[in-house]
Amino acid sequence: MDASIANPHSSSLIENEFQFLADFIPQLVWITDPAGDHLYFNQRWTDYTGYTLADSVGPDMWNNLLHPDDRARARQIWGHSLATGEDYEIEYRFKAKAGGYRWFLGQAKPRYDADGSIVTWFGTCTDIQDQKLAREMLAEREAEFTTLADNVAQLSWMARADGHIYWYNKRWYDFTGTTPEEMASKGWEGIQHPNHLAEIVYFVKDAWDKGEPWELTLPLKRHDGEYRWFLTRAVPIRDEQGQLVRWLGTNTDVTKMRELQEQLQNSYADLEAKVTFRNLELEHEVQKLRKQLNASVA
Amino acid sequence: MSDLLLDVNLQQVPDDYLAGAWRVAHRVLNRADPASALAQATNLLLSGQALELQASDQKETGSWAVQRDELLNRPYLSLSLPTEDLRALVTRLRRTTDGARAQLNLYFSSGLEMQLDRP
Repeated sequence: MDASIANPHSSSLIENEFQFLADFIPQLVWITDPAGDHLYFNQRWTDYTGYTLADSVGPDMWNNLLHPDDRARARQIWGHSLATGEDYEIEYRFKAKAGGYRWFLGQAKPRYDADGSIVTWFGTCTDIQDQKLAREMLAEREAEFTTLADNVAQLSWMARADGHIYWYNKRWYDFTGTTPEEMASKGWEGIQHPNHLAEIVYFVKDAWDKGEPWELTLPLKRHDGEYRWFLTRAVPIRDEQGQLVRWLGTNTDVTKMRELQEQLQNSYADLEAKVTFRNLELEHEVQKLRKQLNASVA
Repeated sequence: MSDLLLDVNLQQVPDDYLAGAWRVAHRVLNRADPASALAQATNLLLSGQALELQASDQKETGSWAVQRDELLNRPYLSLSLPTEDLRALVTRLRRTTDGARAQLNLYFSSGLEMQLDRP
């Protein structure tokens, strides 16, 4: 009978188990001495980098496998951990044996002896290439969205399902002269005209509850204190289950349009009054002529 | 005090809002006689019942009154001059809250339109 099987705690069995585990897990595994010189690489490391332990002689071998843009940062952070014993964590790009670089999350922890001295550093490199690319793509899309949202002609905002507005575009802040902190603490009520506030609050609360697209024309206070009229439009955004997740809103300045509309209405009213006035004048003339006629007949 | 001219509701305008020394700021003749006293007027003084029409080289005096008709939702002025009687519809009146400045738009039956400023 194999002694290692008979005694599950025998050192050779544990070593075998460790070897199996280290090669089994999806990470690249490495161990260094307290000075940072490598003592061990798992098979995945060798398979990915093409470097064996024998190739790793020299303090900067692993550093040379890094993307040139990451080398100085990695050397600085690793050096700091070696000097202080603090946990090591970094995102960097490692060169593949097959060519090209992939992003990894490097992490290491020191192992101490009974005297509290560091015996080894146990480290892993986790492939985060896909997450990194997804994160970069997300950041890119977010940047594109922010550029778009900040450059549309309207004031724009996003609200939670319950109507709490958690985001405004740059035009909102430029127009109102507020800051994100002020909007977060005071809300949008301070931007409304006091004469219209109660009516707006009532309307909007009802609109949030209904969950349907809504429109409302209301005055908003500009940074210099002047009120301008805006057409507010809000559209509910729903998830795949049809659950309302957020509101997307815009405020379009319609002050000029309202002024033109008012001018047009005034012009029509003036025209109507002028026509009536002319008709009355004609009536006066007719009456005058009748009187003259009657007088001459008499 | 605000210098802003505000529209006065012509259905409720007091007669004395229309009195005063008005300066002709703008005029559209349309089909009116350009040689008439009114077409030449530079100032229009409306005080009490007295009317004085001032032009660069002439002056005419007469009387004026504010009149209303239930068919019109705004007042009109009846102007009596030695040579003719005229009627002018008030199409717009704007004034500052303290009344120190005002702007009056009149439409005459001849088609003449005038914008008067005070002062």
